[in-house]
Amino acid sequence: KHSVNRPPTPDAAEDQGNEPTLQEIINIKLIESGEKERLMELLRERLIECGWKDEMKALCRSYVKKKGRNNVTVDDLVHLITPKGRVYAASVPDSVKAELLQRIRSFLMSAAL
Amino acid sequence: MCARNSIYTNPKPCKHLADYKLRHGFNTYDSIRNCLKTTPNGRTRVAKHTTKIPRCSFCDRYQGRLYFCLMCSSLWCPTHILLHTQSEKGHEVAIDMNRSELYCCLCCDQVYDPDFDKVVVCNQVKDLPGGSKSKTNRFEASGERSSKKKRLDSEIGLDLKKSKLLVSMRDRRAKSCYPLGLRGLNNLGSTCFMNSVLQALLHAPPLRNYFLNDRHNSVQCRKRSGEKLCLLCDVDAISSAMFSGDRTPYTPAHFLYSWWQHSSNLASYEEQDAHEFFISVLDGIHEKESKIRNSGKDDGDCQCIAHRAFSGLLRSDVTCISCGFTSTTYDPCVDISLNMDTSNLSSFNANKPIKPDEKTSASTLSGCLNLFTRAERLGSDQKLHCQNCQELRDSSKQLSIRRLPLVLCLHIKRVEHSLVRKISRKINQYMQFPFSLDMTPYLSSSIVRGKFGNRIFTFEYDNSNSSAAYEIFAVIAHSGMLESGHYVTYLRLKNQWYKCDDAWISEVDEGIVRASQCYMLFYVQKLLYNKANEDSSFVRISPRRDPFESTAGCS
Repeated sequence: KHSVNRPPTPDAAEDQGNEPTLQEIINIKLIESGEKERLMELLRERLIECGWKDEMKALCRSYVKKKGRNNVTVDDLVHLITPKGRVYAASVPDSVKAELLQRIRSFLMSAAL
Repeated sequence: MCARNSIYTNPKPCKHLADYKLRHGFNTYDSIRNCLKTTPNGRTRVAKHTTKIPRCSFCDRYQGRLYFCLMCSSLWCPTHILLHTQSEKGHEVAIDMNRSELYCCLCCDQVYDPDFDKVVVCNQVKDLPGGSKSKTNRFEASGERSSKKKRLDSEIGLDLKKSKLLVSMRDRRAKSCYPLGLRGLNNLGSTCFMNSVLQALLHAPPLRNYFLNDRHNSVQCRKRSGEKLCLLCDVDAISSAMFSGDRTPYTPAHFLYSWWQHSSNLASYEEQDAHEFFISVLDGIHEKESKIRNSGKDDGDCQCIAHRAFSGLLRSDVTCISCGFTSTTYDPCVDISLNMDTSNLSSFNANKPIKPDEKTSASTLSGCLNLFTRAERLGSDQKLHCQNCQELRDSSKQLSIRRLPLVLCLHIKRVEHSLVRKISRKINQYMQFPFSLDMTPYLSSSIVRGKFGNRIFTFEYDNSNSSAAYEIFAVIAHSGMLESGHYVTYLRLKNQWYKCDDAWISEVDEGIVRASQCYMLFYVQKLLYNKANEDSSFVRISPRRDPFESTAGCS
């Protein structure tokens, strides 16, 4: 299925070897159990409630207004708000972080990692 | 807001998508029909690989956006999908796996197609609980379209009703009675002194954030120190319990045990002094941290969480009365103990009964702070050696605050000792205190400057980095007598006061707090207070989008 002209695998993958990192293992367990999906949904809800999403939307809107609707691609917007989103993460209430941390902790304990 | 009719106007497909559709006709989206999976939350995802974690075929990324090529079902991250399009002719259209949205690899942009959306919606409706579970509900040849469309419309109606129901359920769930982190603590036998201090500590913004951000990892701590007892771990455990969302009262038994080990001289079932406990807890936290970091730093520079939150610097100026020579020393402190500014003291000490009609001026916090920073003439039995005069001289001493802490703990000394009668008595007098406190008049810069009268030029440390504006967030109040009394804590969360009386938490009016007999006042720098109390308590209801609403343009 892969193209014959596919460039060689980058070095990073070779260095890691075939051993999955702890992060990958956790991620796999989260996805397999469906917990990741639930956490994402919970996070989405909370980010909407606290207005983070509206802030991001406003950023995008002003950018689109400036550039013109037909001159903006999804990639542009992603590159625009990804760093901003990190900054605005500071405005996310601690209760949101607490809730997610609690959920992840309970999951890790129940998954006996 | 966008114009009403633009909601249902789809943008035109890009050239590449149009070509693609022409080439494949009605089979355009066949390849993904079987791959669409509806998550429990009602989103549609592309899930071809049910066993493996989807990764980019080039760089193995599994996080972030991933695109699924419509032609060959290979997976790519946004950075590398262009490589695929360039090497394979005709592989121009892909789907964002998590969002089920079309992407044109050559335009590097999202594109829209009502036919595609219909496929997705069909699938979603089919999987909705209560909707048609029939797996044969597929789009077939154009002949049957109209009847399918009718069925689809009625099912969409069902979906809207469901989403409205889900919205109202979410609304109810989100309205919690108390803010997160509020939880009662069971009394383990005269341990209200402990419970009251714990409530105040755990809601001090720097400490609350410290534990919420998991800055103290219990597992690592145990590995590192090997000791089984760590006060920080225990406080961390209590913090987790408080913020877990469970509202049933929590029993801090393990913490009490740890603390007894640490302060064995205070280990008993008697009522202890809350302030003494407070100091001993901070000390315990500091001790553990300094063991870990092996630092011999003094309290002023210590980076343990206890000191980072509470440590300030006091300045003491001792002036020789005769020549005016002043010697200055600095001492770190974790709190400020204030004597009460009451005129009752003198009569108590002089063994005189208090006349019932004697007018006693109300005691205020600013009065106590003024008393604290007032130049005090030291008695003639406390002559100090003056470096200038080279002999013992009468001196005056003045305290001021060189550096304010993040969290200011003010301890109101409600005990007075009578030297004559050789007994101690509790001062029950009411003391007035503000919710917003400006500490500027008590700073060294203000006090020292005041010594020179009204001067315009700047002193060496006039521009202090930290602000002097504070907001109160906790009050520990004591009621009863010296030996047997009861402590409660009043917490201020999001401008609402709560009374924490061991296991019982209740909302109270601020008048109750003001009228209480304050023993320890906890103020935090205003900037930290504002950040901690941003109003996120309102719930913005985000209704499920109408499935036929265009995803493009404004919304």
